[in-house]
Amino acid sequence: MGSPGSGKTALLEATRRAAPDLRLGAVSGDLATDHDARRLAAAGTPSRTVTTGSACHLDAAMVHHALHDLPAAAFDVFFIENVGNLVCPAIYDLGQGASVVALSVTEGEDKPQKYPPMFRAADLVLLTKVDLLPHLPGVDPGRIRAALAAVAPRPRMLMVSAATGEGLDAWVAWLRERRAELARLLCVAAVRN
Amino acid sequence: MCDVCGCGDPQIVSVDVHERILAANDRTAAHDRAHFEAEGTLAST
Repeated sequence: MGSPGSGKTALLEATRRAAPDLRLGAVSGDLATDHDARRLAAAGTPSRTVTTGSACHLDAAMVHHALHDLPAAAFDVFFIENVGNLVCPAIYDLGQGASVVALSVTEGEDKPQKYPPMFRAADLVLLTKVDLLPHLPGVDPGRIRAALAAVAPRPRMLMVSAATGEGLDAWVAWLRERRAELARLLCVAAVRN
Repeated sequence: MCDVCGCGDPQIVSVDVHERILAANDRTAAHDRAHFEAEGTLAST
Protein backbone atom coordinates (compact mmCIF):
# COMPACT_ATOMS: atom_id res chain seq x y z
CA MET A 1 0.00 0.00 0.00
CA GLY A 2 1.07 3.56 -0.47
CA SER A 3 0.43 6.83 -2.24
CA PRO A 4 0.44 7.07 -6.03
CA GLY A 5 4.09 7.38 -7.02
CA SER A 6 5.48 6.10 -3.74
CA GLY A 7 7.45 3.47 -5.64
CA LYS A 8 5.39 0.35 -4.94
CA THR A 9 5.89 -1.28 -8.33
CA ALA A 10 9.57 -0.37 -8.56
CA LEU A 11 10.07 -1.88 -5.11
CA LEU A 12 8.43 -5.14 -6.21
CA GLU A 13 10.57 -5.23 -9.34
CA ALA A 14 13.65 -4.76 -7.17
CA THR A 15 12.43 -7.43 -4.74
CA ARG A 16 12.39 -9.91 -7.62
CA ARG A 17 16.04 -9.08 -8.34
CA ALA A 18 17.02 -9.22 -4.66
CA ALA A 19 15.34 -12.57 -3.97
CA PRO A 20 15.65 -14.74 -7.07
CA ASP A 21 15.01 -17.92 -5.05
CA LEU A 22 11.60 -16.83 -3.73
CA ARG A 23 8.50 -17.81 -5.67
CA LEU A 24 6.76 -14.46 -6.00
CA GLY A 25 3.33 -13.61 -7.36
CA ALA A 26 1.35 -10.41 -7.45
CA VAL A 27 -1.90 -8.69 -8.19
CA SER A 28 -1.80 -4.99 -8.97
CA GLY A 29 -4.73 -2.64 -8.61
CA ASP A 30 -5.19 0.55 -10.60
CA LEU A 31 -8.15 2.53 -11.82
CA ALA A 32 -7.03 1.94 -15.39
CA THR A 33 -4.23 0.28 -17.39
CA ASP A 34 -2.35 -2.93 -16.73
CA HIS A 35 1.02 -1.20 -16.72
CA ASP A 36 2.10 -2.30 -13.25
CA ALA A 37 1.26 -5.98 -13.71
CA ARG A 38 3.03 -5.96 -17.06
CA ARG A 39 6.12 -4.46 -15.44
CA LEU A 40 6.09 -7.13 -12.72
CA ALA A 41 5.55 -9.92 -15.23
CA ALA A 42 8.46 -8.59 -17.30
CA ALA A 43 10.59 -8.69 -14.14
CA GLY A 44 9.72 -12.37 -13.69
CA THR A 45 6.84 -12.20 -11.22
CA PRO A 46 3.56 -13.79 -12.37
CA SER A 47 1.03 -10.99 -12.03
CA ARG A 48 -2.53 -10.01 -12.75
CA THR A 49 -4.17 -6.62 -12.98
CA VAL A 50 -7.36 -5.54 -11.29
CA THR A 51 -8.70 -2.40 -12.92
CA THR A 52 -11.13 -0.85 -10.49
CA GLY A 53 -12.70 1.78 -12.75
CA SER A 54 -13.61 4.49 -10.28
CA ALA A 55 -12.97 2.56 -7.06
CA CYS A 56 -10.11 3.86 -4.93
CA HIS A 57 -9.13 0.51 -3.41
CA LEU A 58 -9.10 -3.24 -3.91
CA ASP A 59 -11.53 -5.44 -2.03
CA ALA A 60 -11.26 -9.11 -1.11
CA ALA A 61 -13.53 -10.26 -3.96
CA MET A 62 -11.28 -8.57 -6.53
CA VAL A 63 -8.27 -10.37 -5.08
CA HIS A 64 -10.22 -13.63 -5.05
CA HIS A 65 -11.03 -13.36 -8.77
CA ALA A 66 -7.43 -12.47 -9.59
CA LEU A 67 -6.17 -15.53 -7.70
CA HIS A 68 -8.38 -17.77 -9.82
CA ASP A 69 -6.84 -16.22 -12.92
CA LEU A 70 -3.27 -17.03 -11.89
CA PRO A 71 -1.40 -20.28 -12.50
CA ALA A 72 -2.00 -22.89 -9.83
CA ALA A 73 1.65 -22.87 -8.77
CA ALA A 74 2.21 -22.04 -5.12
CA PHE A 75 3.92 -18.83 -4.13
CA ASP A 76 6.24 -18.16 -1.22
CA VAL A 77 5.19 -14.53 -1.14
CA PHE A 78 2.18 -13.04 -2.89
CA PHE A 79 2.06 -9.25 -3.14
CA ILE A 80 -1.25 -7.45 -3.27
CA GLU A 81 -0.35 -4.03 -4.67
CA ASN A 82 -3.31 -1.87 -3.83
CA VAL A 83 -4.49 1.22 -5.67
CA GLY A 84 -2.34 4.21 -4.72
CA ASN A 85 -4.27 5.65 -1.80
CA LEU A 86 -3.61 6.13 1.91
CA VAL A 87 -7.24 6.08 3.08
CA CYS A 88 -9.61 3.26 2.06
CA PRO A 89 -7.00 0.47 1.62
CA ALA A 90 -6.38 0.70 5.36
CA ILE A 91 -9.88 -0.52 6.24
CA TYR A 92 -10.43 -3.27 3.65
CA ASP A 93 -9.08 -6.65 4.71
CA LEU A 94 -7.69 -8.51 1.68
CA GLY A 95 -6.71 -11.72 3.45
CA GLN A 96 -3.12 -10.62 3.81
CA GLY A 97 -0.74 -11.92 6.45
CA ALA A 98 1.33 -8.74 6.47
CA SER A 99 0.58 -5.09 5.81
CA VAL A 100 3.38 -3.02 4.36
CA VAL A 101 3.23 0.68 3.50
CA ALA A 102 5.58 2.34 1.03
CA LEU A 103 6.31 5.97 1.89
CA SER A 104 8.69 7.90 -0.34
CA VAL A 105 11.09 10.52 0.94
CA THR A 106 9.42 13.22 -1.15
CA GLU A 107 5.93 12.84 0.35
CA GLY A 108 6.36 14.91 3.49
CA GLU A 109 7.76 14.03 6.88
CA ASP A 110 4.39 14.24 8.64
CA LYS A 111 2.50 11.86 6.33
CA PRO A 112 2.04 9.20 9.08
CA GLN A 113 0.33 11.78 11.29
CA LYS A 114 -1.94 12.90 8.43
CA TYR A 115 -3.09 9.35 7.63
CA PRO A 116 -2.96 7.51 10.97
CA PRO A 117 -5.25 4.53 10.12
CA MET A 118 -2.95 3.48 7.29
CA PHE A 119 0.23 3.68 9.34
CA ARG A 120 -1.39 2.24 12.45
CA ALA A 121 -2.31 -0.86 10.43
CA ALA A 122 1.20 -1.31 9.03
CA ASP A 123 3.45 -4.13 10.15
CA LEU A 124 6.28 -2.42 8.30
CA VAL A 125 6.87 0.93 6.62
CA LEU A 126 9.34 1.06 3.77
CA LEU A 127 10.86 4.50 3.31
CA THR A 128 11.46 4.42 -0.44
CA LYS A 129 13.66 6.36 -2.84
CA VAL A 130 16.29 7.00 -0.16
CA ASP A 131 18.84 7.42 -2.94
CA LEU A 132 17.26 10.88 -3.38
CA LEU A 133 18.05 12.00 0.17
CA PRO A 134 21.35 13.71 -0.77
CA HIS A 135 19.29 15.98 -3.02
CA LEU A 136 16.68 16.72 -0.34
CA PRO A 137 18.54 18.59 2.42
CA GLY A 138 15.29 19.50 4.15
CA VAL A 139 14.14 15.92 4.59
CA ASP A 140 15.18 14.13 7.77
CA PRO A 141 14.39 10.40 8.02
CA GLY A 142 14.59 10.80 11.79
CA ARG A 143 11.59 13.13 11.72
CA ILE A 144 9.68 10.66 9.53
CA ARG A 145 10.49 7.90 12.01
CA ALA A 146 9.28 10.11 14.87
CA ALA A 147 6.02 10.87 13.01
CA LEU A 148 5.49 7.15 12.55
CA ALA A 149 6.20 6.42 16.20
CA ALA A 150 3.57 9.02 17.16
CA VAL A 151 0.75 7.04 15.55
CA ALA A 152 1.83 3.41 15.16
CA PRO A 153 1.83 0.78 17.92
CA ARG A 154 4.60 -1.16 16.17
CA PRO A 155 6.68 1.50 14.46
CA ARG A 156 9.10 -0.35 12.25
CA MET A 157 10.67 1.35 9.25
CA LEU A 158 13.29 0.25 6.75
CA MET A 159 15.04 2.63 4.37
CA VAL A 160 15.18 1.24 0.85
CA SER A 161 16.04 2.21 -2.69
CA ALA A 162 14.85 0.25 -5.69
CA ALA A 163 17.35 2.19 -7.79
CA THR A 164 20.51 1.35 -5.82
CA GLY A 165 19.40 -1.76 -3.93
CA GLU A 166 20.02 -0.13 -0.54
CA GLY A 167 18.04 -1.80 2.22
CA LEU A 168 16.66 -4.58 0.04
CA ASP A 169 18.52 -7.29 1.93
CA ALA A 170 16.79 -6.21 5.15
CA TRP A 171 13.42 -6.07 3.36
CA VAL A 172 13.82 -9.56 1.93
CA ALA A 173 15.00 -10.85 5.31
CA TRP A 174 11.85 -9.39 6.85
CA LEU A 175 9.68 -11.19 4.27
CA ARG A 176 11.47 -14.48 4.96
CA GLU A 177 11.06 -14.02 8.71
CA ARG A 178 7.34 -13.25 8.38
CA ARG A 179 6.81 -16.28 6.15
CA ALA A 180 8.63 -18.53 8.61
CA GLU A 181 6.54 -17.08 11.44
CA LEU A 182 3.37 -17.81 9.48
CA ALA A 183 4.49 -21.41 8.98
CA ARG A 184 5.18 -21.78 12.71
CA LEU A 185 1.76 -20.41 13.62
CA LEU A 186 0.01 -22.73 11.16
CA CYS A 187 1.98 -25.68 12.53
CA VAL A 188 0.94 -24.86 16.09
CA ALA A 189 -2.68 -24.48 14.99
CA ALA A 190 -2.57 -27.84 13.21
CA VAL A 191 -1.15 -29.58 16.28
CA ARG A 192 -3.83 -28.05 18.52
CA ASN A 193 -6.57 -29.20 16.14
CA MET B 1 -21.55 12.02 10.22
CA CYS B 2 -18.73 10.20 8.50
CA ASP B 3 -16.19 9.00 11.04
CA VAL B 4 -14.60 6.38 8.81
CA CYS B 5 -12.40 8.23 6.35
CA GLY B 6 -11.90 11.32 8.46
CA CYS B 7 -13.80 13.76 6.23
CA GLY B 8 -16.32 14.47 8.99
CA ASP B 9 -19.06 15.20 6.45
CA PRO B 10 -22.27 15.64 8.47
CA GLN B 11 -24.37 14.68 5.43
CA ILE B 12 -22.95 11.16 5.30
CA VAL B 13 -25.07 8.75 7.35
CA SER B 14 -24.25 5.47 5.61
CA VAL B 15 -22.38 3.87 8.48
CA ASP B 16 -24.69 0.82 8.63
CA VAL B 17 -24.36 0.23 4.88
CA HIS B 18 -20.62 0.60 5.15
CA GLU B 19 -20.51 -1.92 7.99
CA ARG B 20 -22.45 -4.44 5.89
CA ILE B 21 -20.09 -3.93 2.96
CA LEU B 22 -17.10 -4.44 5.22
CA ALA B 23 -18.69 -7.54 6.78
CA ALA B 24 -19.15 -9.11 3.35
CA ASN B 25 -15.61 -8.15 2.45
CA ASP B 26 -14.30 -9.67 5.69
CA ARG B 27 -15.94 -13.01 4.83
CA THR B 28 -14.26 -13.09 1.41
CA ALA B 29 -10.98 -11.96 2.97
CA ALA B 30 -11.16 -14.88 5.40
CA HIS B 31 -11.62 -17.20 2.41
CA ASP B 32 -8.62 -15.64 0.64
CA ARG B 33 -6.55 -15.89 3.83
CA ALA B 34 -7.39 -19.58 4.18
CA HIS B 35 -6.28 -20.12 0.59
CA PHE B 36 -2.96 -18.38 1.19
CA GLU B 37 -2.34 -20.24 4.44
CA ALA B 38 -3.16 -23.60 2.87
CA GLU B 39 -0.47 -22.92 0.30
CA GLY B 40 2.03 -21.67 2.90
CA THR B 41 2.07 -18.32 1.14
CA LEU B 42 2.81 -15.05 2.88
CA ALA B 43 0.36 -12.56 1.36
CA SER B 44 1.51 -8.99 1.76
CA THR B 45 -0.21 -5.78 0.85
